[in-house]
Amino acid sequence: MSWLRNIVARSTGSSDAEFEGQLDDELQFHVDRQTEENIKCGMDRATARREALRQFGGVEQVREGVRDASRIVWLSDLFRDTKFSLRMLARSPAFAVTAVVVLGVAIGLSTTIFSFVRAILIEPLPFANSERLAVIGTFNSNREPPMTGASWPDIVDWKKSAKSFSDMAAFKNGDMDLSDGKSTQRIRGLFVTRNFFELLGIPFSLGRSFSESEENDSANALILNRELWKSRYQQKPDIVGDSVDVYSWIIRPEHGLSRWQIVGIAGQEIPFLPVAVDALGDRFGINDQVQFWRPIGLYDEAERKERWEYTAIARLNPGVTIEQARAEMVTISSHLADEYPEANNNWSARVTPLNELVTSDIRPALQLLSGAVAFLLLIACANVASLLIVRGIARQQEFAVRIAVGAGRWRLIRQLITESILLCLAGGALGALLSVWCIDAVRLFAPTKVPRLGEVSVDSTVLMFALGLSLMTGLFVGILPACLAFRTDVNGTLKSGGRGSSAARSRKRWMAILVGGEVAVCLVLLTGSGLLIQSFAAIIGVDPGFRTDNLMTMTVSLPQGKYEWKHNTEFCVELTSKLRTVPGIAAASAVRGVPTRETNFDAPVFIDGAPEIPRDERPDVRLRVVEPGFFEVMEVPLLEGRLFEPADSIGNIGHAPQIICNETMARRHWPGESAIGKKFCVVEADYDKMEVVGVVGDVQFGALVDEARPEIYYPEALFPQSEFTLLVRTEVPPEQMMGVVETLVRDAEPDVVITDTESMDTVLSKSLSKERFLVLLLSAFSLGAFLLSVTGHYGVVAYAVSQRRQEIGIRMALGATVPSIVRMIVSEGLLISGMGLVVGLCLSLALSQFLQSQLFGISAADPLTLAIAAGVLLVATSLASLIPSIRGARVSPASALRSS
Amino acid sequence: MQQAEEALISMRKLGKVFLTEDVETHALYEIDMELHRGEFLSIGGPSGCGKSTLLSIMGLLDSATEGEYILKGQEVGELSVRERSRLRNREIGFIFQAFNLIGDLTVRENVELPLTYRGMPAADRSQRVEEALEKVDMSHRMGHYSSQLSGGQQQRVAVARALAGSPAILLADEPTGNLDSKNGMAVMDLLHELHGEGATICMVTHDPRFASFADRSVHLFDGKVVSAEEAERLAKADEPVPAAAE
Repeated sequence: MSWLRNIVARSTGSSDAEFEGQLDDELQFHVDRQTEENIKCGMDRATARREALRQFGGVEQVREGVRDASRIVWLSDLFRDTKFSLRMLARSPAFAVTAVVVLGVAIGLSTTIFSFVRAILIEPLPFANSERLAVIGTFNSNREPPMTGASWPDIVDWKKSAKSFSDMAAFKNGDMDLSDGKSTQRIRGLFVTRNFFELLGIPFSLGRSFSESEENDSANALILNRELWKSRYQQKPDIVGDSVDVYSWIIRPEHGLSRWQIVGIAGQEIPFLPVAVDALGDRFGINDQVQFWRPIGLYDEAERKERWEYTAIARLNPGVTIEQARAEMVTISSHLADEYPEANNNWSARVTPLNELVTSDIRPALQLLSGAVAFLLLIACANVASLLIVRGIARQQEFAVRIAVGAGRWRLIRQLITESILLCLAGGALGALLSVWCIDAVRLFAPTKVPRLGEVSVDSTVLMFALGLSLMTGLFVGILPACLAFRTDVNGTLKSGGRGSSAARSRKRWMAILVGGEVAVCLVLLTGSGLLIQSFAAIIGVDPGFRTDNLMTMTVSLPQGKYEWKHNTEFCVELTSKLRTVPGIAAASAVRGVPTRETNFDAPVFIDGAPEIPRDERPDVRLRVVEPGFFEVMEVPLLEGRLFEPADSIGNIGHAPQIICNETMARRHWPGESAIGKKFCVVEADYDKMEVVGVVGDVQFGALVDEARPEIYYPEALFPQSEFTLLVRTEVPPEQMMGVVETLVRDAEPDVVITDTESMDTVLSKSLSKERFLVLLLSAFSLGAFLLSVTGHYGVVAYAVSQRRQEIGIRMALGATVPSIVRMIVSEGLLISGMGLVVGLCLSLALSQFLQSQLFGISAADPLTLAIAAGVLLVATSLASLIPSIRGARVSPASALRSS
Repeated sequence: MQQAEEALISMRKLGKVFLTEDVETHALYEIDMELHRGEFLSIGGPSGCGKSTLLSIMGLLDSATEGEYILKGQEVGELSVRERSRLRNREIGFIFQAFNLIGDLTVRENVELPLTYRGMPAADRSQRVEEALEKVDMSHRMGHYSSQLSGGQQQRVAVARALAGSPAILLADEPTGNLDSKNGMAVMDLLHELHGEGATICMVTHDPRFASFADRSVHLFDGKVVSAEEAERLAKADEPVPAAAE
């Protein structure tokens, strides 16, 4: 302890010995002066000194007062309290272990969710002042979907007019195939304006950004990321200026090899940014690194209507809020609509903070889980607080003695809070350990599209959170039992040597309140998880529109631009024909975009004979490119007309003579009549008219929860694809055929890039990963909450029974039967849980709005779910009351009366 | 000599009424009493007469509802909870019938407890604890827990705890009540010895043998101070004191 005292002494600026010496000198001075005064009044020295000491009022008492006033003693008190608390906890290992485990699990889960929230929602994106970056797309409430990208001319005009932004850049996703003459490597990257790097604060390891002329000419200039520079070019120091061979194609076909000059190496790895419209699927996610940048290039006024391609990113000027920027962009959009009514009427710019856009999909789920885990922590706290209250009853004598010998209210509260904080710190340490494991477990179930999932870890910030949470929990858990301890009936307890006290009644009341609260919060969690489970079941029950079992998918990418368009079609047709001959394969076909995972192109539709409406208000139709055998392989039902025939593969995109549409398209545009033979055109009103030759069932190409949208199918030959997804119906489990199919594909084209080889069941399962993630976590939290609430309820009833042994003995002595005693106790337990359930029902209804956005096919205020959850809790708490009540009623009346 | 000095404890018309719903119970009624430095006072009376209530008020564990209580020249009725705790810690030492040692503390820690609440330096605490335990002849049991001690030993440790802080007054509530006659007498001898050394003691007891150790006795009956003779008469007559019954 001497080291501790030294710390205290140093904190007050003097050592112990110095302080005591100074104090003695000071006291001696006052006594001597009074003695001298007394001598002057005629007393002899001995009498004068005795009288001086009496007048001084007790040297020791004055010494104590000065010590108190001049020294910080809290540190040594803390040390003593800690020592005593540790001893007390060691003497009650069952209590300590129970409390630490309950708190550890709750703190561990809270820390786990926090680590996800921090990495995904709180940590800034890896750009300078990323909170001031905003993505700008366009919005038209008359269209479906209302939100889309921006046209290049619009972005140029926005940049010219907007004062809210210090700079604005444009970008779009794309890929290229690097070639070394023998093989190709598919790389993914961005087409960007040359100010992109400066705007985002991306430094260069080597070289520079694009020049003005490179941008204007859409020159063959490349900037690579560091990882590609290392892996493909061995970090060659003088790589800037070198040329590489590239097969490149994004929208406009420029088949063939071209030479591209490397002008820079980016000094920082950056992820793909969210784009307003992702026509290229989900391979350009926030968790993927951009491998290259190339100039975006063109300015073409004719492209003003084309809003699906580009996305703008801008940096807010200092002091400008996102709301101000939004207002300004609405004004600018209005001016552009006046200037270009045909292209811009009803279109408005939509400004969204970059961080908000990145996290928009997962934010509600994480907020929901944060709320759920906070509730679980609350229940754990109430549970441990109940345990501490019970423990406080057993320690009444100790509290009474401490009060009697001079412990003040704060001193006693401080000591008890030290105990609860120690428990919570131990729980926090356990929780931190658990969180390491939990993070891995949660990551396993987390949707793969969750941004920055790889950054979730237990680091110093997360550990500080666990520590802070433990300290706060310690205070929260300890304050009520500590305050109740001070209300100990000191006289009664000291007189009786610690046996019983009327203060136990108020403790029992508080325990009932805590347990009632646990039941209320538990009902909220049970209802939430019940709703999510039902919602998940409803999603699983959605008919995707095709047979999913024994179906395999494989995305195949031919080197871009290596072959002429015709070759791509021939390759696709030959490959699917060859696959159909393989034993174990029943059928094979191809499609652009995997059902339930990827989107495709939308375009306005012009129905022949329909009333004239402005172009921008026309509904969209989704264009899907399929190999003719698609419907048979997928087993999509033909509802009307016929499927594709070889003769249908004639024409061009937008000019196809015959197409197949889905049921939704037929119902929406030709309600109550046959769609067969109906004519329409897409993209532009003056394109060639297309004729519907067949109507098939709706296929869920988007998420299962999405509403079916009007869709038309083109034969692949009309729109040849360098990338398509093979669909193979197998006669055996698809996993058994994956190797065979891959070998066949590689034999057909050695340079092919193969990705996403999965069974359709796996694709479907992955598409539900967010819903499954929520259901699993919320159900786990609810189960934990349920167990804690029921055990808490059991504890309170068991305690109440133990306190009423004498009463039970008297009742039984007077003729009460066991069932009547059981009925009495259970009904009291039910009163607690009943009140908790009423509060819980109100709470559930009040919070239901926060859950609604995560539900499908069920209302957040579904009365059946609420009733089932309440019923389960009622039954469980009744059982929890039954056990101690039976035990209590079986006590011999004689022994109960004797022991009292 | 003692009578001439200012009283350590002075009570004027002190009363205590317990209120439970619509029932008023007068536990103490117009108590006038003084206790001087160095005095050994015993308070006697039958069960339920208010002895322990009076001792609790003297020890600042309870408050009077009427009258005035002055401790070392200070009216305690207006003190805050914190000030009462502080005064209790520094000026009062308790000895209880039920010993009330804390089972989870060693003998040393039990005796040290009031000193820790004063913020006394560890060296001083240690010295005082050793002195107090030596005085009650329990220094050889410093590391033991109360469950390892006999009743008599526990009470001696409780006396040491009361002494350790050098309080102005020792309040003993039936200190021999839970002990056999031999151990009871040993504790009384200890109190007598302490009194001889100058300690001020106020003891509640209903046993006349132990009351005889005191310099002076006060008798309570139905919450009121009565003379020894009247107390004896009333106890035999088994009738209430007229004033207290009002």
